[in-house]
Amino acid sequence: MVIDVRDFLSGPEPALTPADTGHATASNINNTPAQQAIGENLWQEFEEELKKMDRIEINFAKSFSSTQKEILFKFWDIFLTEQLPAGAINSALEKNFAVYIIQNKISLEKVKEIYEMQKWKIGGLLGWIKEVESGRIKELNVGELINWCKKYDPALIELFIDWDFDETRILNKKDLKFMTSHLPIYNDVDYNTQIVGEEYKHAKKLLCYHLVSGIIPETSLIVTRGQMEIDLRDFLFLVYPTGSAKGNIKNLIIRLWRDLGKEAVTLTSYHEEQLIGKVIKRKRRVENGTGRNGVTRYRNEDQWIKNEGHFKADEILLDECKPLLTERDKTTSRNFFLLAMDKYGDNEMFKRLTENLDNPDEILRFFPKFNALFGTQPYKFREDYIILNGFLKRVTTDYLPQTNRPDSYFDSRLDNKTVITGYYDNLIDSLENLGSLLTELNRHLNSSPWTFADDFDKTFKECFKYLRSAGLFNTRKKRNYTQLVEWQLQNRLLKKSCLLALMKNETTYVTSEHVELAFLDLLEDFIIELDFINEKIYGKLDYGSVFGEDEKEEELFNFLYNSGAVSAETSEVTIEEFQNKIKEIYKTKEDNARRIYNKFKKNDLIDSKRVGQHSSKVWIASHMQEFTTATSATSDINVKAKYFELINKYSASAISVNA
Amino acid sequence: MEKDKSLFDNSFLPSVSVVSVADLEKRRKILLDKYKAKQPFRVTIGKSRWMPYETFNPAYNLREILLDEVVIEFDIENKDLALEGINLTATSLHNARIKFEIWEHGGKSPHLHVHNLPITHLSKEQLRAFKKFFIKKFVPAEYLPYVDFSLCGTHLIALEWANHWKGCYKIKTLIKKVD
Repeated sequence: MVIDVRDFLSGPEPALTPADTGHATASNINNTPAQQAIGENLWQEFEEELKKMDRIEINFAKSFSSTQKEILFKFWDIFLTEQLPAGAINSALEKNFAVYIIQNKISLEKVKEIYEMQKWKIGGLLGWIKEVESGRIKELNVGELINWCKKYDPALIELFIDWDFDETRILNKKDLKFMTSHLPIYNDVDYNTQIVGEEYKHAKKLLCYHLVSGIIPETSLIVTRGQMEIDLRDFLFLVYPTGSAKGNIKNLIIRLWRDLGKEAVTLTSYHEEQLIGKVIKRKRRVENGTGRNGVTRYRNEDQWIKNEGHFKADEILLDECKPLLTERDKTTSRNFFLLAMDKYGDNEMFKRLTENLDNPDEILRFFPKFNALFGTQPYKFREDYIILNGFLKRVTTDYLPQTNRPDSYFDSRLDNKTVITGYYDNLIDSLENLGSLLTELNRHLNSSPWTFADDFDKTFKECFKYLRSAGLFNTRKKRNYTQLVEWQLQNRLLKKSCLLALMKNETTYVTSEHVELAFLDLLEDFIIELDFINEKIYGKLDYGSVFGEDEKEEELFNFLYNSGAVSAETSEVTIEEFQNKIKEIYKTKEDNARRIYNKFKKNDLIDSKRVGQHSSKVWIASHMQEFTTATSATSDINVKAKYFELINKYSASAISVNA
Repeated sequence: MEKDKSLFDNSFLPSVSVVSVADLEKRRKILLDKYKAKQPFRVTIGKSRWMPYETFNPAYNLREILLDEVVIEFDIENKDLALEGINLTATSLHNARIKFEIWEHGGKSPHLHVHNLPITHLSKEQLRAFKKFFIKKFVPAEYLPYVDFSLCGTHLIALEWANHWKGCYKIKTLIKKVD
């Protein structure tokens, strides 16, 4: 039996009973309809499910989402390591800590050590552990933890902001399909990199785009669409543990560019003169008339030679770029790199030695058009080193955390190599093939301008809406990062669409199909980039704090926010209470507290009013609360569904999607 | 694939476009009163405060999902895919001899309502678990990522025979009832 809803959409209304249409008697209406019978098997299966649920409760393994696990980990870490105010170690806290200890099989010996170190009495905790072990307490009560924070450490409430975050709609790395059928050079790239393992599929996809971007001549490097003007160079930032695939990728790039007559340089020094070059003064012997005896005379003349640096190369490869990104003495080189990676045409390198004149012969001036591959290991970075200075905005990131490889990984390396007969011959043929494919693409670009299909804009806007939402409807840190890079993300969608049009259809005419496919690839890039941000960047990426300029201001705002002081109607905080809180937080006296209060008022951070003769109200100014609602508009967009919809559309083989 | 003729034998009743406003109100009242006889539930006018349904008000346009009811919809931009999901789900429900209704409001996906399931004795947590289990049982695996599972808990849905609360859609109309 097959049902097709389309048959009913425009058809007549289905048969309704008199009770449906209002022709029923009162007795009809009040009759409770008979329950449906559902199969015995279905019940049995469900009962099995229920039993599992019960077991889960008894084992305390109530499944927390990864966000929730992370929050709890941070909370208990702070609890154990920081100095807490008097009375903070109360029964609510220890009861929940006992559940956490048992749930996570934490060594009681270690906890005892910490208690001893902190000079806390452990008796209460041990009592709660017995309660948990006996099964009388089964669940960790987050509400109690939040109430504890309100009372003893309001700043910690922030930890729980993402607690109820609905992860089911979030696209995670494990959901990604890494479709490759739309990338015609993928197989050659895959073969030539000699990298084994599913985890490198994304890197090889990125490499396809990178290589195509590397063959684009200056005349086609800039794409303009509306107010967007972008440069098609595609810089890669590979964050892999040592011994992963960086070397293979680098070697492929070097061999390929060498075959195509391009210059690829592996950087070992970051000195700015190595990067930009230098105008050198040399003596040159020039003729200076003829002497009395008819012999030609010479004189020495100054000559300026422009010795251009590595930025003139076609590709720059950095095996380990951490020093460049983080070391203070590399600031100048870092800034030159950032400038060189700006849009081609806006990235002029200018160098004139102090002893030189403004004469064009004595100045080095050029626009770099190199592509680059930055490699590093999964270190932790400070946000100001690679985000706030704009480095991450300019690159496409691939990130692999350090993992223990299974034996099968090493087995499969051998398997692949032995299965292919004439491996090295094939490799050379395949490299040649890849080179000719890229040369062919380059030929297509010679005189054609980039043009766009009529429906390009509509699809582009739609895809970008989803792309942006993937980051905005996410945990706080990822959301903050998205807000920092969303402008650049839009540029990247345009860049990838153009590169894909060229790679897939050898054309500079970009269609909505190219946008959708580029969106799929960019979404995967962005999900992985967000993971990198979440795991490897210190800080919250909110320019200091959401509320307030510093921790004290933030604490004051948290006090108001948690007391419900968000409007005149809801506030029960008086000006006097607020000033007392200022005294407590700033550890200051009344006069100074009043001055701080007036500063808040003057800067429109808070509002207040007198209530009757003896009372007053103070609350957070409404414009300050925009921070908390900025992303609500995007929450109804289901990025995961869109991703699978497009995967289904473009890949018949990917139809069996896991739930 | 041959379609089961008995399921496609629609009624002689007129299309909903010729049903008067008064008739639609009457149908809404009948439904709401029928639900009220089963259990207390809440209604709203748009996204306003939830209030218990006591007496009928023609302005009500959202209602709470009932305890013994499973509502399935697909959150997906491509309506063809949503319809396909509904078709396959409806087929597997029919094969399991489960009665259901399909309601269309002009949105992304029709709603598939399954009423009167023998589950009201379950606890709130168990109800949510049952509804999820039920959906996973009857919705094909490839459509599960699009299912709105939030409808398994306490949630509002558009009221039947009412103009959709968002304004941009149509009257939520019954397009198929399988008994």
